Amino acid sequence: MMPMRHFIFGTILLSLSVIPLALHAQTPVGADVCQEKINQELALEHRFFRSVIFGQKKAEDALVGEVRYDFFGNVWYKVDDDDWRSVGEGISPGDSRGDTAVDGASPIPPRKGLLETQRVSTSELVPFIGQSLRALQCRLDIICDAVRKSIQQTTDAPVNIIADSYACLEVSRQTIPECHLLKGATETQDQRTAVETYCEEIAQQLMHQEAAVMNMTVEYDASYRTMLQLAGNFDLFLQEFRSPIVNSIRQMVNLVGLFNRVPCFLSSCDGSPPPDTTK
Amino acid sequence: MGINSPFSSTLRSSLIRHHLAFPKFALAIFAILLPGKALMLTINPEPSSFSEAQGIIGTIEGDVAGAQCGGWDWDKPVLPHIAISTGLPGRDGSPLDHKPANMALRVEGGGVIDGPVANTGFKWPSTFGYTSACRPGWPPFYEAHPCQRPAGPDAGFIGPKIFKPPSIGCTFGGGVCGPDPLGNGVGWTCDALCEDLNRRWLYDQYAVYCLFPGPPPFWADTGTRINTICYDPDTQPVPAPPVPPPGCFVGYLETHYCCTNSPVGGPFPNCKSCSDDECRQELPSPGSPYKSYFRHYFGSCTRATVAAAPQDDADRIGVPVACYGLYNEYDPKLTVSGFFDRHCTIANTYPGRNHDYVDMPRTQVTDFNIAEYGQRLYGTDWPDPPSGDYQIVRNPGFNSNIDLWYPNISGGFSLINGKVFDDVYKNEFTFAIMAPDNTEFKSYPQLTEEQVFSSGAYMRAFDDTVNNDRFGRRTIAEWWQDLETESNKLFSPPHVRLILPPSWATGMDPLDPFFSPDMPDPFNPKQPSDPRMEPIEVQLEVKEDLLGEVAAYLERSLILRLQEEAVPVLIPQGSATEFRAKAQAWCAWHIASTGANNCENVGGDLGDLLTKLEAYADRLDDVRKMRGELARYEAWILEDQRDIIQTIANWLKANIDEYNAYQTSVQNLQFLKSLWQGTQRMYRTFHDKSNFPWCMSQSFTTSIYSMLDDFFWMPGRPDLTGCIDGAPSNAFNCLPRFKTDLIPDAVLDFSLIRTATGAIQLPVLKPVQVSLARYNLDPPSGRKAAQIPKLPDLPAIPTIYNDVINGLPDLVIEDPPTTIGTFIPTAIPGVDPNIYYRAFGVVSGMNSAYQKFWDSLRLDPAAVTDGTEEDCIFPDTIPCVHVEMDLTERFVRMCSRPAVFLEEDFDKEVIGRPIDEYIIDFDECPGTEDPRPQYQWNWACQPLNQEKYQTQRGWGLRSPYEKEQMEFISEFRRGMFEQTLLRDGVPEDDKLKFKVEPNDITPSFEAQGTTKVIFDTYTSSSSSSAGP
Repeated sequence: MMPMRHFIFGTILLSLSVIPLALHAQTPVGADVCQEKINQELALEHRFFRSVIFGQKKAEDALVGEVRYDFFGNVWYKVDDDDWRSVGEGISPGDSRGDTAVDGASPIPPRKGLLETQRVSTSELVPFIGQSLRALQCRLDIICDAVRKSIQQTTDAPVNIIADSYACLEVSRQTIPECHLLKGATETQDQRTAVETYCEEIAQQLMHQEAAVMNMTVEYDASYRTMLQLAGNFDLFLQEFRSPIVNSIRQMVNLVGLFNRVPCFLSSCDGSPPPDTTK
Repeated sequence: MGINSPFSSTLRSSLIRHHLAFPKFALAIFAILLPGKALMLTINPEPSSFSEAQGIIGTIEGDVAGAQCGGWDWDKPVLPHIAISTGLPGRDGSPLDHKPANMALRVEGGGVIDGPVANTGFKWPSTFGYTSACRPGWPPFYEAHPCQRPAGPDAGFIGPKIFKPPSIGCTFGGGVCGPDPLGNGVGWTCDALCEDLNRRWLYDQYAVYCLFPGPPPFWADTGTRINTICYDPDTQPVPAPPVPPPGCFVGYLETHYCCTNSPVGGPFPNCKSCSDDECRQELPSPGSPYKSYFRHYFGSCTRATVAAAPQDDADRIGVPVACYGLYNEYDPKLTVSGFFDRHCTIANTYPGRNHDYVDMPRTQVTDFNIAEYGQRLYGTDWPDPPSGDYQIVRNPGFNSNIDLWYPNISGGFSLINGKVFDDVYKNEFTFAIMAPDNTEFKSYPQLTEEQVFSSGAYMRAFDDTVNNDRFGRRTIAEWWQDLETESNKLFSPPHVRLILPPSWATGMDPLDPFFSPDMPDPFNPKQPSDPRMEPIEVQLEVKEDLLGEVAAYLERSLILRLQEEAVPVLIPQGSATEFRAKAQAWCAWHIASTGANNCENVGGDLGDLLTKLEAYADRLDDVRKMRGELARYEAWILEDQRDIIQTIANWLKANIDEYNAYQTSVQNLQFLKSLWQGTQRMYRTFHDKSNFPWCMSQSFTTSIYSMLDDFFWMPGRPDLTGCIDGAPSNAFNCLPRFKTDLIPDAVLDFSLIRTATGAIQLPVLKPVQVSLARYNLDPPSGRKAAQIPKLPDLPAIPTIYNDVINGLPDLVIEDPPTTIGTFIPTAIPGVDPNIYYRAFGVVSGMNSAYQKFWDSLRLDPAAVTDGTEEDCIFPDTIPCVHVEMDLTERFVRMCSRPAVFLEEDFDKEVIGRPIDEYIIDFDECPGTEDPRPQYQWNWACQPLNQEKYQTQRGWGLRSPYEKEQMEFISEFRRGMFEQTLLRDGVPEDDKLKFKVEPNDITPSFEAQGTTKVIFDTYTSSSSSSAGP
């Protein structure tokens, strides 16, 4: 049985693979780089949200073949114990990172996911999942708010701002330098519109997608936990009853087999069949 | 022998009706417990004629009378009821001095003081008869069996004196002397023979007279006598005078008896009557000594009547017994009795004398108002079970308004109290389950004298081989018990019992046909069979081809499980047409730029580019070759699977071969079994019918050794041991015996079979196809100068199959499980059929001997022609079948008491020690009272087959450890990542350029770990496992 988590991660990662996520250390400004930066920030939130739902293992517990992201968007692939490699920009293929470094460079800390919570029913997890979705929505909206506020900046350096969204906590953060479109006053209105609507559109799509995924996940998890609960109880039943009941039955069968051998009274044990008549 | 038994039918009915397990008194009693049809009294409910109805009524009366046999009368001593025989030759017995053998101790001291059996207890009674100095064959008409009827009217008998032709004595009878004067087989009465001997076997004696010289010469008797030959005046002329010597003449002197050489009319005739001791002594005569050829006795047997049988016909007084033939005195114990020794007729058929035994089946029945038969426990006031007194009232305080269960219904189970269940528990069945009733068991009392509960006491079997020299031994009974014991072992071939895993065991497929036996076919139902004869496996629907099913099941269950593990591999994707189009564009650019006519022989960077683009177009599709990877190493897996199946098949074949051989040998036993069944059937006939003509107990009677010699059924006679204390032998002078081993049942324990746990993780290449970066490959328009792009070589197609094959876990087939050959022999032991042939011969001869004995005594006087009661047409032919030397013992047996157990029947020495122990070792028999094997002593020991287990062996599939497998898979993942994406050490220009950055491709290589569904905890708390 392919765990649902595999399916979801595979799907999402494949879909993300077509989104340009490259991070640029310097600050070229423009709609393209701004959109790319937006992608990076949204992807990070997406991974963060997923880690909340499904959890993220420590690097040392990860199996060969698992990947992790660092703060710069570089993807690290675990090739061996305590050995991670990346083909990120500026990273030599021969450069290796250990588990500790990978964890330290990851913007997402190792954590246990909500769905990894044991001994609870799915219903009990739904409020937390819903709250996480709500948090995702806030964080996406705040990113888009930051984008909007970044567009208006004219400086090279990032500016401290208060990003907010309706019904969400305000967040103090810096603007996104790649989106300081007013800096050179070369932007067109179209570019501004494209950047603003891009963020909102992508964020909305991401929300819809995650909501749908959560919907499916909850359904799956509920049925799965139910099945496991039944299986577990049945397993317990068999464990408990095997010895006193099944063993007794087996011993009885064995005993019945022995009865076949029990000598009876001499004449009735004769191999000869009894005579047809008594006379 | 062996089991003569007094009381079969009665105890049968009483025991069964009253559910009393009477201790194992004697093997005789066992015989009455025949199951099934043997207990069924069958009649035709719709007789077709009046005569048939009369016959059925007789049958019913016989059945009813037969059921009135047995019982016990505790306080009545046995001794008065053992008959005392008088008026006959033979030996007395001391009834209670040989209790361990259940027979009387023969008196072997005193008796006659001369002759071959002097002072050995042989007693001679008052008698009369005929004695003769002649011997059979001389005269010729004096035969070995000289006469057929005691005497004619001259001796006080009813019938005429019968002469055998051509005796002129026929005239004495007044009739015609034909070959069979009376037409009934009698050719000579014994008195007529005596008369003929004296009249017809003579010689004449002549005196020789010669002339003496004198003076004067004179004729004088020389004193010399010349006899003629013996002649029969009835058939031969008087011999001529003998020829005198020269000068002499003979003169008739007198006629002499040939056998006594004495003158006719003198005191020594050829034959004369005798009386008392004269008839056993060889009286001297001038010629041969006299020897009697006929004796006549009046025998009696008498005993006290048994009170529990009110009509007990207890005695026979003055029964005429006629013994024909030369008197031969010997001890039947030490000398084999021959054909001519069975020459006595016990004439109990004279009308009006009431000596016959026709009414014995009716008179010798028990009155159960007098005898006990289990209606109450001896010495107590306990009532006859089943009785309400034995009903277990488990809760006298039961209150139907409160208690949920009725506990007092039948002592064994309870019913739920509907009222309380409805009113109090609201029909909630859970409560009923949570408050179960309890129960207890109590046995019915069983009877013995000293133990109120049976512990397996028994009575020793009756046996005519009992003798004073081997105190307490019973050759035939012990031999039969030994034969029963060994035959039981022989015909108890081991069963093969399978212990199978529960269908729900881990890894089992509950839908496997193995756990779903075929439904019975209503149109082809199984043949009904006697469940007692079926091995238990059949009852459990385990069939003969069980092993085949097991093997098929194993094959199905032990198929390798494969688990796919994805190994991502980066595959460049592109269109061959597009690459060729780009090549063509660069070619066009080249032509436009240089004015060349074509792109042939273009060198330099452009030439390299065109070549690479063509190569890309040609080779991109080569990645499809990777499809063949999986098939290559899956073939190896299939070969492993084939090896597994082949091994199982070999194991199965070995099993089947061994089982077939075993079955064949079992089938061969059927022939021996049929022989044994015939022997057992004959034994039952002997036991229940031949030697049980009416309800009687022959215990404490004296052995009749001559019965062992009739039909010569007892081997080795006059020996009485039958060689039973020696090694088993089939020698002609030994009772046939054999010894075999009891082969344990085989228990094949497959309950620990486990199918594959885990799976073989198989790497499967999972292509991550990414388009090559093609937008940099377009030439500039027109003749613009261009920087010719450099294309790296296409990397080699990744291949893993060699590494996979090399790295797949090796298939290690360990030693196959043991085959059934280690449990059961290829061929079970057989026995020489001659042993059973001889055993049948022994039992059959024994049956015939006793049948003859009792048949001769059960003649109906109405069917016997008057005057022929004492006839003995031929020796050893009914009624003339009795041996003279143990007539006393025969009369004691004849007057055996009714089959009511009396005081000494329960004596410890008779009943034997109860078996109050059970034996753990199945192949041993209990009992320590005698060093001999116990089964030879008191009973047939029928041990249980042992069970031979070989547990925890079987088939299972053990996959490599998961960690090892994961390392194996990780190796490929790592390799494919490094080889196709990371490409460490490859110059940047030699790396393929993809449409997306390598960093963005990396996530597609991610392989998530597996999710544990069942955690490795002591208890399987699956519900607490991680979510998806």
